[in-house]
Amino acid sequence: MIPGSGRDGPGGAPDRTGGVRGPGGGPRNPADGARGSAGEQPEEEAEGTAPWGAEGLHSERTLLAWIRTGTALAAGGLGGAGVAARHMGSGPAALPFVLAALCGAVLLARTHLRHRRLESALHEGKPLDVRADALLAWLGVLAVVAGAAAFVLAAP
Amino acid sequence: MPVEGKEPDPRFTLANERTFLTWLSTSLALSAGGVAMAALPRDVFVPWVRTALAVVLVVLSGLAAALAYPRWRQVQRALRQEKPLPRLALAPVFGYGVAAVAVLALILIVLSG
Repeated sequence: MIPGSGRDGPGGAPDRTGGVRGPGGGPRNPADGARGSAGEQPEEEAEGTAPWGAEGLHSERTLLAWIRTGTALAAGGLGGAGVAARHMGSGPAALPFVLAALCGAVLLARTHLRHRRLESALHEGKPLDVRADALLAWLGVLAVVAGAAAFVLAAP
Repeated sequence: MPVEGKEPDPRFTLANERTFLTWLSTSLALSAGGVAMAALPRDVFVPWVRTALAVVLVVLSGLAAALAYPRWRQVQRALRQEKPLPRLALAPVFGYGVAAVAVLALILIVLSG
């Protein structure tokens, strides 16, 4: 749990000692101390494990979702550009798809950086902000939709 | 995100982010379906039916894409303010729209075979 948020997540994951931990792997009761404080380190934490417990799985699923979206954008953009160029025989028809492929490529290239920042924010209890990446992904998808609409309406 | 309300549980924030990405993936899949439908050989479907199905798919794709970002922001705002999540009024449009296209395409395939 982000310190001071006052919210426990759905359920709260049981810890390995039988007690209940907050979603951040920290103590469920805020009075027990903020995450990252000296007394909060779980004594049973094994070497090489993520200190934020169950949130690690959420960030992992989110990482995979970003990879899926970036790959779909890049592949869809390239495929759409190929189809548009073959059927319509003009460069401008393929342009939105090329833009989408570029957005997908940038998103894929930023995958590691984004995930590292996310894990760092989770670890330090900072707010998560991926607005720039979200806008880039949105722009890419809007470009695909524009390209698809132009193709469908102008297809021979 | 505007700083208003409390920072929500990161699990909710991440779930909202994944939902946003799923909307984008859905939009991409619908666009791919529309382009594939429009690129079919002329003799597969009646041309105007093929174009109509493709247009429906691309319109649904545009709706999904247009909704995705504003909805992500709305949900995040609701989470921060600990308010109920906004309703998705267009959910039936997507469900029935895609189902109608699939059923019509299936009927045309069966009739042409």
